Amino acid sequence: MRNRLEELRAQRSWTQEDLADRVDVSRQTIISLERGRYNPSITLAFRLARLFGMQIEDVFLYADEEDGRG
Amino acid sequence: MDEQRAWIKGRVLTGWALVATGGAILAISLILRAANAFPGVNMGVIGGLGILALGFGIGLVAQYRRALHDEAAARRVIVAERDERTVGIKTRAGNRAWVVSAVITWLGLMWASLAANGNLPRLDGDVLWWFLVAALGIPFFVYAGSITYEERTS
Repeated sequence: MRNRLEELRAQRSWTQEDLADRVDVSRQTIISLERGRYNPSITLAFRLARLFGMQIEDVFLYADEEDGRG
Repeated sequence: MDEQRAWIKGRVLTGWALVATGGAILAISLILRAANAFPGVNMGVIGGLGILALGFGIGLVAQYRRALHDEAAARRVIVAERDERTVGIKTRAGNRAWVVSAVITWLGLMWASLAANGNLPRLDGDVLWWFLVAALGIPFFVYAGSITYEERTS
């Protein structure tokens, strides 16, 4: 699953630490999310999406959608 | 925040309890050894248990005591403890260590059964001691190794 976290974070000039503090996770978790190595729980995905004022599907891109099959 | 503070306070208290218990066990083992009260008992093993408890206790106190008086440190500690990725990594590492521990225990049971029938040499003396060391140590290394591996890859 890909995501737009790095892009959305950069638009707001937040550091990874800033974003981690806002959603109560470690900075390492944000790094792993941005690198696509870790898929968040649905709760964390909601918290991140709401923080950016967006829907989950606007922040996280499921593999089927990437393949154009979604 | 009160709930978080109570949780941190609990960790510090547990740490102090372990320090007190470990210190007492170590002191008693040293006194009994000096008095040669139980010549057949290896007091080094009992003293080692005390040192282990003392070490865990000091570690807990050192890790959480600052967080009791520092809001930012408290927040960092809570986030690190409840971070979902970290919890997941520890859970998976614990599961692997448990499986390895179960396999070693099963092998020990099988060996003991076959040894009782005379099909294998008996597990006793130094061999039994080293087997128990492996049964304790290998799952720990699997746990620590899994955490290191998962921290790099997930």
